[in-house]
Amino acid sequence: MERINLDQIVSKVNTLPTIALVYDRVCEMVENPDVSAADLGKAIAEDQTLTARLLRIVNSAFYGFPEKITTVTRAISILGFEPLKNLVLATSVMKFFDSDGSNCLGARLANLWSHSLACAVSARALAKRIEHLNPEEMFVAGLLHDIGKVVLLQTFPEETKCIFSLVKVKGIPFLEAEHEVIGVDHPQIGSILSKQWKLPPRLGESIALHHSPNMAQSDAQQTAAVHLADILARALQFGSGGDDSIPTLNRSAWDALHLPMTRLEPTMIEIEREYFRSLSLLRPSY
Amino acid sequence: MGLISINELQPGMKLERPVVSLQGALLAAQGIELTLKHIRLFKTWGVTEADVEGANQQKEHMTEEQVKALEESIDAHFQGNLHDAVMDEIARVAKKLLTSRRQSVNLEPADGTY
Repeated sequence: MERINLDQIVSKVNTLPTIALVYDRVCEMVENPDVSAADLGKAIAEDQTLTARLLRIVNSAFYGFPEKITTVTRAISILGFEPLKNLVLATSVMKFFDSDGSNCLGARLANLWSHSLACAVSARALAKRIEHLNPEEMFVAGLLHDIGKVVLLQTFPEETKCIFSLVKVKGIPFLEAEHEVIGVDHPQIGSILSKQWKLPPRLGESIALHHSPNMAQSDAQQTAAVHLADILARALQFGSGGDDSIPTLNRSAWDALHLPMTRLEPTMIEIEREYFRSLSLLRPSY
Repeated sequence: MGLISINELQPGMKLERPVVSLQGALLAAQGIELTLKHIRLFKTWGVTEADVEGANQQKEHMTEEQVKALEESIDAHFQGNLHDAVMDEIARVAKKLLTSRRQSVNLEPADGTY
């Protein structure tokens, strides 16, 4: 099996579904002070699948709004531009985990989605208890942390098979198997994707460094929280990140969070509850 | 009727609502009686829970051996990370939550902290 070089990844990333388009436009519009909720609503409404998903989420028990929200414009006026932006990103990402490939690929992506959702829920729960972190932003960071793995699974099927085999046979973490088989890893791939999608630097960094949080520069706390969220999601056995092991907690990351150890139990209880609630958002209405 | 975790599903249970995969594909229709094949299919597709008839009345009680076995498997996942106080705490809480997930018990923090 040959090593993959980063140029190959860049070119594959360019062939991926243009999930980023709507998000790009949304970001631009949100930055623009002359843009109204109605303008933004109109832009999003052009993507029907996204609109349907967004509305289902805002109308779910998740947000607990008493009135039924029927337009994106109304959703924006209630939620605000920033939360809406994060919601658009989260909703767009969902379709990235789809596949019409073999059963094995489908199951692996499904497990990866569960794990990513658990990490998102965990990151948000942590952010509520850590002063400078924004829960909505952290939800998105958790959701995207393993996006590099999704790219790998979707665009390098042969290499993916080898990596999963190696994990099973040697009992090593996915990250290690990646290095052995292809020489690059999912944080690097995720980093390339985040540059392509022009994600905010803090977000790109937490994707690139969630396994080595001590190297974070633009926001050590955010990356540290994603690192811990990944550990919590694995400890609670929601889905699968590709292997069964739980990464060692990076000490400097833990210290950067200033989270008392006694907060862990209530946080994990909240994660347990919120994960099952979030999962119900992915069901189509019937 | 109620949602129960995939680990609690047994052949013979009847679905109150259809089971769909995370991508929205229909895996089993409403009203069918589950077989082992269904349960295996759900696991392959990463389904974590299903809505079955009479679920609220069911509470699985785990024997001491079962609890011990579960805790040992959790320790195995933590593989050598347990020399650290924080990881120890995470493992402790994980054991508590995973055991209660199996037993469908509701948990609140012991001292009501947030």
